[in-house]
Amino acid sequence: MRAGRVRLHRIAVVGLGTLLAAVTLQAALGGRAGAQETEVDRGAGIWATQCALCHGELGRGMQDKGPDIRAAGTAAIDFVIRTGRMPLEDASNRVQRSEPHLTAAQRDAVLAFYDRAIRTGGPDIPRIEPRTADLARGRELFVQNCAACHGPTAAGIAVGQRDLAPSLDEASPIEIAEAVRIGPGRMPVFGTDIYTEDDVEAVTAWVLDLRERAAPGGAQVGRSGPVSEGAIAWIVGMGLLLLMIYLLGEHAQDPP
Amino acid sequence: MSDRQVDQWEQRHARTDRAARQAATTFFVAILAAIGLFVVYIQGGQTQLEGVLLFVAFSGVGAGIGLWAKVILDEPQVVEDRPMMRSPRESREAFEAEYDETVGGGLARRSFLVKLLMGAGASLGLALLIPLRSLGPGPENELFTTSWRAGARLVLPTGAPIRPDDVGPDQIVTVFPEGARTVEEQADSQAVLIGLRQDAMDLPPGSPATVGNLVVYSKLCTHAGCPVGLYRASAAELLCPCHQSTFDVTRGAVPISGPAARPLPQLPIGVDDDGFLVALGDFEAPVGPTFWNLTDEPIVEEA
Repeated sequence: MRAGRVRLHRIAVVGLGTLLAAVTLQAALGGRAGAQETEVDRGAGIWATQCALCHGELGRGMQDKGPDIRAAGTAAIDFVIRTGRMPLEDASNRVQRSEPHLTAAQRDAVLAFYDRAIRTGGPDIPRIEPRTADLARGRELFVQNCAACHGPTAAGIAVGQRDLAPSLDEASPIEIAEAVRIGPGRMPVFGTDIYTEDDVEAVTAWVLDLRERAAPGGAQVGRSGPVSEGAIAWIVGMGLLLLMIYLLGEHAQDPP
Repeated sequence: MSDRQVDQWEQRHARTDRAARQAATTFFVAILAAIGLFVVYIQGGQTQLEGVLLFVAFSGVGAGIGLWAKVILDEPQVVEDRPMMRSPRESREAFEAEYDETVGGGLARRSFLVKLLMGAGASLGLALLIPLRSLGPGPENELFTTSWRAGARLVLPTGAPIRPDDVGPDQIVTVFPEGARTVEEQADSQAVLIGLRQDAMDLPPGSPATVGNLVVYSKLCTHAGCPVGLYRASAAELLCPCHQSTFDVTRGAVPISGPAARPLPQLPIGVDDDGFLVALGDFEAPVGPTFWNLTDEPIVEEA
């Protein structure tokens, strides 16, 4: 009687435990992994049609078409899709900023697929919150590392041969942070061992601060500041005024 | 009054009437613009709009006054002759005598003022001789050396030392010798630490020591001493923003374009016991612009 009750108790415990484990496993693996798989699957489909033609099905790159991007990092893939640089309609086209070709959902799917199936290294997408960043540190870093090419006001300048360090006016905060990490085009890389996530956040905040400055004079003149704006106004305005005075004098008639 | 005069009078009357109407219109426009300015200003202001309204208001007032003066009040101009108004001979002579006695004589009497003026001029001349001092003595070895010493750690502008693994391919970092604190110590020893891509390094034989794919060059352009801050990473070229001198980083920073005539001096580097990057000595050549007693032969890039 006593032994039978114990056995029954054990069976009940084991049964309940199995049921609990199964439910937990279903919730942990089945449900979530299933949703994840569909996004990765969708990403694989987009990859096959949009990326694989030049970079290969496994991202290893193809001769004369596209480079190996296995170690480019999620930040680089996100950057080129966000800024419309990729996918290219024709491999001979110039890689440059344009309207994005993929939607945000498509981009997320490609990123999920890339992260799961292709990536071997490279930087993650930076997590930044520029509103809480240290602006003074950002300015210091910008002057030391960015101003040489992008100009002190982030307006962009020529950097030799046919290359241009672009104006940062169009770039969104996440794009600025990603570019710092991946160094697109001719730009150098600013790695995680030297520059912390806070540094990237700070420099992004400084760029945003630069371009959000009010322009009370109307035209910004490359954000060159009130002194040069004033100088231009005086030289051009005064020049026109002098010209007018001269012409008035030329046409004036002598008194009778 | 003749018919002709009546015609003229009527024409003039018509002209001034028209001008008066125009002037009234411009004044009216000016009043509207001024009220507009007032309203915009009260509403919180908008710089460009305020400027335009101010321009319209002033232009209206100006044009109105102009019309008023030139057309409505356009009376014939009359010139009145006046005789010469010269003083009589006696009073002129009296004035000259008085002048000689007072002001004119004073200059001769106060000769010490003249001497002081000459003294001031001479002192200024003496002060201008001071720049001559800069012609000597010579700067001795100063132009040939920097603050880099064997064993000096490479540090970031923040003062943090660097491990070789910290700097990957396509990265560029400005570095200073550890312990260089004054501007003089930092100015001539600023350098760029660059991570080259795998197998890209192609230094000429006898080049200073490197660590892995890392090279360090002086940041001062050998042309005019500007900071060579533009790194075209995918081409491994350093570009000077001042005069577009371009240096090939993989081949010992030889100039490949622009006015610079000699390579950026390279810094020999190694790793210390704690695993941080250190200099193994000073730059291989004097940094910055080439000077009169620099004996190195300029390196000419072969096509």
